[in-house]
Amino acid sequence: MRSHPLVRLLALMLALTMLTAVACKGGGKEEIPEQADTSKLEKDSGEKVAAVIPDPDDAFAALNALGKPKWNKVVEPIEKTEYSDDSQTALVTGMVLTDFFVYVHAEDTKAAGSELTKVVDLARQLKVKVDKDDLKTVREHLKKKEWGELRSALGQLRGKMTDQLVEEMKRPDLAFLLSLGAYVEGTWVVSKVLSDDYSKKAATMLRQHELIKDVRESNDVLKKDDKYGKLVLGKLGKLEKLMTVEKGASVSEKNTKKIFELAKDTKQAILE
Amino acid sequence: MFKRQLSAVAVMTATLLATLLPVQQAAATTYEAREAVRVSAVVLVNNGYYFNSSATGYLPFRTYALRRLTLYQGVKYAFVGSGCNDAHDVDLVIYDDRGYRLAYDTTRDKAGVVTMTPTYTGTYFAQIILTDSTPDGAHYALTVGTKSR
Repeated sequence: MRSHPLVRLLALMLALTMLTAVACKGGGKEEIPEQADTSKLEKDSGEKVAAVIPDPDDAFAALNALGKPKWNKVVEPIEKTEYSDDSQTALVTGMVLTDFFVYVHAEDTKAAGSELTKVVDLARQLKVKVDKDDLKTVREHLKKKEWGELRSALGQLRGKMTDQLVEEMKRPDLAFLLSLGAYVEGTWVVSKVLSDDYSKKAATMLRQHELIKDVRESNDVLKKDDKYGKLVLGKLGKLEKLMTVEKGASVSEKNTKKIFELAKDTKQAILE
Repeated sequence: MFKRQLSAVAVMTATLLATLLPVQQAAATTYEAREAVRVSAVVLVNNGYYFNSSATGYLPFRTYALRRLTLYQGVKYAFVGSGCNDAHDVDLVIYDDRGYRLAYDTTRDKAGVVTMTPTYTGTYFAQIILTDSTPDGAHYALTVGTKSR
């Protein structure tokens, strides 16, 4: 007896659906190769590989691992409170966030609290809402001197600020500038610590030419007429040259001091 | 007349919602991914890791993202990659600048967690793989933690 064509079609569709389901469920994961061609991985992913600009706190952790610097003598608070545009505000927000982390490493509750107040004020100027619960958590950790938890809580708060800039306010340029401001201030802090107490081992930390090259070349979010963005990217070009050393090598003492001077100039130019 | 006004209001409301909702959904799913990372990182935080650097993004169904990292020699790092509620299985691999696999987590869950200590300061790569999700893909968050002691 021959079945109706419609019944056969339905049976075929059912079989195909089941086969697909089995293939999806039962198909084991692809083996992760011991060595991959990262250029091919980048090409196959369909998008240019993006750099994660390291948080300055990562560099401070590296400095701590090499021997704790005198953190309380490193930074001078930024007193500026009025900014010419959102780009400058975003850059300074990043710088103040970095200073906050320095005071956390110095275990200075009062100074860290003062920087936190500045961050909230700067966020308000950028029209970014700071999550009240997150802020409460940060303040509680600060009050209890729970330094580790405080660093993670502020990382979370900062992440949400960045998400708002990118996704809700559609201002990825400001999120990028905030990271750049943090990076400039972090570079200033690290190069200051290393200039005051140079060691070859610690100076490997300044080998960051690949990161800077990547940041400069992959930037596609800054507006063409962004005065502050142009200024910082220009300075980064000079930093890249000073930070270029072979893998495993250290940036020289002379160049460490030049990096410090350049970072200092960049800071001043941002704050003018 | 009233019906026409009502229709106009309905059309305007629908247009407004259509404009606003995708943005809010995108933000919500990124928050979900960040929250998933935070939950997955609790054990590491209890072991002295602090998480600051992070990146977020969207991955279509069964694709991956590659991120370039700058890591410091001798620092103990932890990496957590996780997805929003639409992600069922997220894996994470860390490679050095020559593509050598240094650490990976391919367990069947929505977060990949690895730790490692770099032997040089410089470039590394993180591959966040969305192995399984709803057909629309998912948002992801990658966070980098350090241990200073």
